Amino acid sequence: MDTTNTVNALLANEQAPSIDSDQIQADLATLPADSVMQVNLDIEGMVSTIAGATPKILALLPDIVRLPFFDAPGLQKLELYAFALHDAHLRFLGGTESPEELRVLVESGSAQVDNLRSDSSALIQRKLLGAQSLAGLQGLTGYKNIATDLGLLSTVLQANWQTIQGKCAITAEELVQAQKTSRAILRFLGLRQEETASPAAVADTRSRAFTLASRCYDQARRAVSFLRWNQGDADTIAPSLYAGRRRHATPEAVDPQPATLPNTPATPALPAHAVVSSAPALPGLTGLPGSNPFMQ
Amino acid sequence: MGTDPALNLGAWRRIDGTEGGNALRIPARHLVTHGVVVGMTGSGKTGLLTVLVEEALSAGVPTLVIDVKGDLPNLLLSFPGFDPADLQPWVEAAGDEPAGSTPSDLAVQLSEGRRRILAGWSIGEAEVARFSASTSVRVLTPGATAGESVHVLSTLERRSSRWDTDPESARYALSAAVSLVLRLLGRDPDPARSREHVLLSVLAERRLSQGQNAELSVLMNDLVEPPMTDIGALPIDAFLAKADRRKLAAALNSLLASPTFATWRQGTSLDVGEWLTPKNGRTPVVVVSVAHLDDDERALVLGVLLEEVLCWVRGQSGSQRLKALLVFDEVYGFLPPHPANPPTKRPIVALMKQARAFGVGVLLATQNPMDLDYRALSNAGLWFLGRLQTDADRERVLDGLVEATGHGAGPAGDLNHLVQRLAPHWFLVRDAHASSAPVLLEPRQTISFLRGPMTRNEIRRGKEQREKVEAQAAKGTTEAAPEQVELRKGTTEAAPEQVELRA
Repeated sequence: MDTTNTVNALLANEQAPSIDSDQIQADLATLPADSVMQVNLDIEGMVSTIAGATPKILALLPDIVRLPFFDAPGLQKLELYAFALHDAHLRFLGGTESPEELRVLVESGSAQVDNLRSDSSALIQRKLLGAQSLAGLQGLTGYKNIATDLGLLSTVLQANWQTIQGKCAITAEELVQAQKTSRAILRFLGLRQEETASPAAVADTRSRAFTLASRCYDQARRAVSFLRWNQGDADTIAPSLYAGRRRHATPEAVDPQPATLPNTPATPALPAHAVVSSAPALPGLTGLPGSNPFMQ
Repeated sequence: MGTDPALNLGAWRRIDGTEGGNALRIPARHLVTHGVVVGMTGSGKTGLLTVLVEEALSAGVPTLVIDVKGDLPNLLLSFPGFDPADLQPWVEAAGDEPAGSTPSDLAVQLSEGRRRILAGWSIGEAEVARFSASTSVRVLTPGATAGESVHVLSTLERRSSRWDTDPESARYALSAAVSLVLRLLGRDPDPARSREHVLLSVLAERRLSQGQNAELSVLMNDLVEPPMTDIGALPIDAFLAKADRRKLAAALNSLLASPTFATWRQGTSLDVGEWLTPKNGRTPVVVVSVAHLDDDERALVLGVLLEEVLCWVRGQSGSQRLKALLVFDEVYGFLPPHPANPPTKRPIVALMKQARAFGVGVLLATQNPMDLDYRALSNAGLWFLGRLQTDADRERVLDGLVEATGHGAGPAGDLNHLVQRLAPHWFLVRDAHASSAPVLLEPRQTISFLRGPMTRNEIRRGKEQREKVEAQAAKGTTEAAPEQVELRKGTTEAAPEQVELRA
């Protein structure tokens, strides 16, 4: 298969960086519950690292697609996963936005409803507006009612704008403002409701998005590490997400007594094929001492 | 019992797999700086934890166990010998037995197998009997009657003298209890967000600090007719409208009237000091099992419990000896990294920082090392790493190990590879108190029969069986209380293959 064509095919579909995209949702859904990782990195930093590394990783794509047993198409989703994670993270934080913003919006919305309602009453009185058109107004109790009334008033008044224009104090800008305020209140309420109803679901989506992005980037690092082994610049191309987190502690100043563990090597050797003791094992019994410490 | 008892955990090897010995002994006091057990599912964490608990009990160290999965009530299944009749209620057919095998046949086979395996670890019938006779096992089940019930709201409803001596910690415990009440009412339990939480806490604290109890029925009346005019700088009606207070009071009344809720308010008080006091010469292990609760309830109940443990710890005298051990199996979700902050996190972090001075060790176990707040583990001196499969898990946990133990145990890549290749039931052990290199540990067989997660009915059955065992033992030993047990007494002196990790 022509490598260039393969690469072009892999890069053909540009995805919107949203957690709601069908592709992301499908990938999130395939993650088994017990494989979901917990978020233990600064998300902004992680996304930034991945986004910075992606062009350099994708530059190696012609070589990566030749690697056996490697999910090269999956690698193409790296940036998509990163931005979807960012999106999920923002939604996670969205639930904790200050209610102060909602309060300000509702105060402004209440004042707008008062004005529009008062002017509308005068228009109804003068038969310029049908009385039934505003029968659905809810009254100024409850955030949702305020948003609904604001939306209804602005919609009805905009629909009759040709009739009422110049015959009341209402301006077109006010109606646009009312529509925006209504939507903003509903959005905040929706976010708050989502957060209240299922904070675990929002957190779970973020954890799943984190898992997708982490795994995909891990895979990318594996590939880069293999391809750039001789050059030794794998960490420059695809830096570790955990880089710089290790603290180098100072060694103990005084070791009060030598260890009593005899002849243990100071620097452990890699366990090649373990030397297994010959402790007698009873047939059919597991749990006796003397098993092999390493997987075969 | 010696002044510096050791925990004999099992066989050991050098980390290159070469020959070690049959007895890795770690001084009990090394656990004062806490321990961490990490390993994937099937790595043998539960077995190792059970061995650690059994060894702590044998060393006379009272132990409180928090059980989330339902495995550690298996401690109820430590019998005085190898009588197949003891095991028969717990035998399950594996499917590969000869046709026609009865439960009685299976119990005989199982019992004989356990006898032979324990003999392989130098544990005979005498040691098993001594262990059973020297320990008392209680399983507490908050919100259920399978084990012993716990009055989880006793912090709120039964006044503690802590209000006179340590009001700050009493306030934390009260806050946790109020959160639990609000969660049971289906309301926001967050102390930082919920006005209902603030109001209930203020009302309860007013009564408790005046030397009274703060029963829920009394708080209901206080909600309707508040004994104060202001909360903070606001009039009480502005803080929470009268209609909302009435609704809250009505909800509390419904809760009080609910037969289900009654189980939360009956049984033993949250009195950690009483739980961990040896009685009749037996060293107690108290297993608080929350496997039957949902996630939110677990977090809140354990938040209440851990605040109580913290209060109790702070009331102890200073000690360098291991006086008590707190074991938390499957801490996943209860000590997460920032910014998550479940009600369990604050007391666990505080215990990890402060309990050392009072001789109380904390042992945490998890199969999900990515979910731990490693800053909280920076004091952990004893690490047991079982097999970990993912790169991220290994990298994270090795980072944590290096941070906690102060210096690396060898080239990180080597250890990473080693942990990846560990067989089930083998652990890499790093003891910060010992200057020797890490070793590999194969934990010994447990004396308790590891039956697997126990359901509520099985806990009830196990509790009744254990009570009979302890009652029979009490009859036979009324004239001479059993001494503290030291396992494998005959083999502790000069066995050349033994090694003790000492500083």
